[in-house]
Amino acid sequence: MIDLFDVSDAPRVFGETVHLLEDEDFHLPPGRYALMSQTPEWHRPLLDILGGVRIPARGRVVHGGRVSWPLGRQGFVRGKATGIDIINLVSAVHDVDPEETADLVTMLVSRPDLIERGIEHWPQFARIEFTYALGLVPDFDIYVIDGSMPSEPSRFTRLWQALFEERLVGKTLILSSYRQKQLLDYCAKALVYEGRRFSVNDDLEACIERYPLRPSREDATGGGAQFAEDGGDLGF
Amino acid sequence: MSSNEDRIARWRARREAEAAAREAHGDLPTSLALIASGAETLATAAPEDAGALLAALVTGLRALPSQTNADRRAIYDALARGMERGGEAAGSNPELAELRRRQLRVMVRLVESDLRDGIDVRAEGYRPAAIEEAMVPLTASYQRLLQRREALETQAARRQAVLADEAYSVALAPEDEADMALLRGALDRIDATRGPRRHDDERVGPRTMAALLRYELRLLAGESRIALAWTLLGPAVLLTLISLLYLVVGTHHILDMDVQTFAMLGATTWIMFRQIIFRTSTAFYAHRALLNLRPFTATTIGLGQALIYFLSYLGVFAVLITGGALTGFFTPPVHWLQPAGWIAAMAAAGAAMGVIFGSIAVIWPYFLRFAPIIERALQLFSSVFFVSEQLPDQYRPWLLWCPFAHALQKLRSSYFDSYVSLDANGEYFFVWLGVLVLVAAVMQRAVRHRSQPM
Repeated sequence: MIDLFDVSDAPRVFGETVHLLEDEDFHLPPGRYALMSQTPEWHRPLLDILGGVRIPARGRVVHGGRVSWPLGRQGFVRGKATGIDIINLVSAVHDVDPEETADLVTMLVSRPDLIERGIEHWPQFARIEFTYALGLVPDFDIYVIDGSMPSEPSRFTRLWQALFEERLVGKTLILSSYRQKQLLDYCAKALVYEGRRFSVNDDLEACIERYPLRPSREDATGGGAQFAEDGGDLGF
Repeated sequence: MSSNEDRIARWRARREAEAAAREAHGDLPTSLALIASGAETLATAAPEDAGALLAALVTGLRALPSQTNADRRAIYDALARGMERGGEAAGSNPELAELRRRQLRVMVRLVESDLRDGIDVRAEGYRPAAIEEAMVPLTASYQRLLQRREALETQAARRQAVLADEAYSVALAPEDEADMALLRGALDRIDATRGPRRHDDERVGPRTMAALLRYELRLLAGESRIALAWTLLGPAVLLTLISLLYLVVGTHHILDMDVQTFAMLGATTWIMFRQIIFRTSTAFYAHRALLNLRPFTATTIGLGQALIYFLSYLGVFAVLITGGALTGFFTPPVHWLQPAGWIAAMAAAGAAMGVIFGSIAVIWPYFLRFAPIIERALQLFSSVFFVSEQLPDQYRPWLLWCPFAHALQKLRSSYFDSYVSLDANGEYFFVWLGVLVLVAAVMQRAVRHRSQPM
């Protein structure tokens, strides 16, 4: 369950300010929703608001339960940290046992040998598997998925899908994906974003016909640490 | 005797077959009805088995007059009709019926082609030359159709499960079952040991902050093995520079403070201050990957960096002062707590400035280019190189407008027994610190919605 109270938001998306929401009051009942709109490239900032990882410019977003981080994004699974570092961080944040978490992730992924190495040296598929495997661990009430779920025929995909099916029962899911099959496989209804408003549409098939399915950019926000080292460590 | 009984049995069987054929295909002449009736069983043969169909076709051609096109078409139609009926009776899937139709069509084309070439298609052991390669694509497309149908059925079942909010059982390989049981067990244990749901899940608590610090420290240590040594090097270089300036002109004591310790206090504190500003502002603006984890905001990530650099430089102070005091290079402090308090206050000021700079950078990223220039300008007025009491009275206001000058002079004042700063005003500094913290709090709140998770 997610409630939006008088929410207005105008983030920068692809270099321009977009008025995403305008005084939006909306109640999203529990259920499985596919986020659909004419502008899939705006899904990322919308999911930020729905998932509570960014506060809106005005108004309030209230979640009825624990919310996952947006699964499917590369997100914090990057850089010099090792898999174990990330597991420890996520375990502390979500109050789960780090040892068990590490065991589970190790058992699940295709390349468990990478977990103790820096993520910057991992191949792309290993990062994706890791972030989805980690997403299974805390028992969330609301799952937010930004991107395609594992679908390549592999042991990881089979096991992950089976476990996720069990995790998802009775929970809320908001999925933004360009893969029609996954939308139909996991979602019951459409969460339609149109004209700066949200609405729920029961006919998902019709919505899939009506709205374009395009991949959003992998990383919707640019910028980085280009100034990080400018200061220098020496005092002169 | 037996041959006569056999004959009778064969006759009876033929009569029964004819009766059945007439019943099923009554509108056809008996001979064709028999062919149609015989073809019924072909419908359910193995999909890739085209031999029986060819045999039935050749038998039909042999048994009946088949010189004209019309005669042969009647035989082919009877075969097709028989297979349709057989397929319907056996309830076989539409894909198999379509496969049979196609197989018959291709076979007829080959036989007719051979007939035109003058090949005796009624001969014993006749087989069209290209029959094998002609059948393979048909069987392959049949398999594809079957797979597609299975996929559609699976999808429909999934859809049903989704709409009913039930767990859909994903097909698992037998070797996965054991792993699945282990994984389920692990998840159950994780769920069982998980703490109770709290209302402050979305707020950053001491536990999450500690986890963030541990994570950032691991990153810092992982950056390079010399990263920690490097934090020592910065102050060492600056304090050497400051000390040299004094020692070159023959000054060994400044207002009864020895030059090395005087320089060390100014240099290390200032380097900590500038590092905190740079690291906090950069983290605030650029470390947006962690924003995907709910409790973390740009401010917590920035302050996490500030805390790490504050703790690192406390370590640097400890190493420098202990080592220096043991070797007689530095004067040991008269108090411990008070200087530490002033260093902490400077760190807090640095963190507040870092958040302010970071907030500006969220709106105007190029601002961070100016940060080192601003810091350098402040350094001149912040009693790093000299204290206000060294200057003639009329020049002192040049220094004393800067709140950080007050803090650094108070720091030295509390460190040395021999020096009491008359100019420094602690209240002035703390009012400034309060203003900085307030501005930082307002600014970070104002730009918070613009910090998009990476």
